[in-house]
Amino acid sequence: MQKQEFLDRILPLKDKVYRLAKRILVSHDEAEDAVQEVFLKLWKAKDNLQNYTKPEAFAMTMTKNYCLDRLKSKQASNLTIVHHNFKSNESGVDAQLEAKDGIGMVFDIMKNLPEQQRIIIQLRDVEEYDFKEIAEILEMNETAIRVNLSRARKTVREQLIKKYNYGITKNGATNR
Amino acid sequence: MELQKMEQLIDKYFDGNTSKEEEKQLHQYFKSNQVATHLEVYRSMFAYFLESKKEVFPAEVPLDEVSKNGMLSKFKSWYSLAALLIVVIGITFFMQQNSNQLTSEEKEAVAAFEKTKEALNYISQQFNESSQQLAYITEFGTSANKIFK
Repeated sequence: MQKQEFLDRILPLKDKVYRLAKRILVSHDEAEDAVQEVFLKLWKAKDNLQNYTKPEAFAMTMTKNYCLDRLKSKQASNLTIVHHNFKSNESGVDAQLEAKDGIGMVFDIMKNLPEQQRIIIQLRDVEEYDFKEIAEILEMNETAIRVNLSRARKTVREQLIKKYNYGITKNGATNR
Repeated sequence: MELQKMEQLIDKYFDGNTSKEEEKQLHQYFKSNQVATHLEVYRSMFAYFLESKKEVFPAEVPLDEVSKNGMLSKFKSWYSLAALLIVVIGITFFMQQNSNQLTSEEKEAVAAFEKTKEALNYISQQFNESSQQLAYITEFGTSANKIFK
């Protein structure tokens, strides 16, 4: 793959790669490092990229694997650092996002989903990939993905309803 | 009617069976301001999807640096080779100089060592000789004992 082709086809993926990395690693800094690493690897492998029918799926798979490895090595090297214990200085976008009512709640719920489910819900509901593409990215079959997706969505719903009801009863209590 | 359809769609959605088209409809519905109150809970979920899609990578991907880095690393390996060469040359030079210096000192030391050895040998020889002479005295002692007993 020539440099220009790389710039046209691979580089625009940086936002998707970043969002996936951030969903897995939670911390902004970690995600930024991951993006740099992944693109470095992609750049080095650019001569082989044309052998893949879908370089995008390849890039996403690489991101997923890299981030999961990062998580694993973090957990292995220091037991107290788990993904949601990463010190995340949510300064920019996140702070703005969480200021919006409700969305922050979903952010928190997402952070507590198992990684696999988090990845699937990210790929489907945010990046709007086809099931076929997700299957390719995650190297899983479509049925398993649907099952996991359903599970993830239902967990989010359950948690949301719980928080929502809690908010209502709390308000009711203060009103009384 | 519309609401009923939406509820069905939502159920389908949570079972993971909605198509992309149907999900688009859901997104549209929750983006609008006419969300039924009992469906209000789900609004933040879809709002979240919409919002997190807006997140972009805040920095530049340093691809130019990557290529430069490639060049640089090539140079760097040469640099390290050169540095290694300098270090090796420096060490051998230093060692050589040191060993040269040592030989002149060593010569003196070796000479002194040999002289001392010679002197000590001589002394021990003398001692041995005189101890042989002393054997007579012990012989004299034993015979004296025989007589005086």
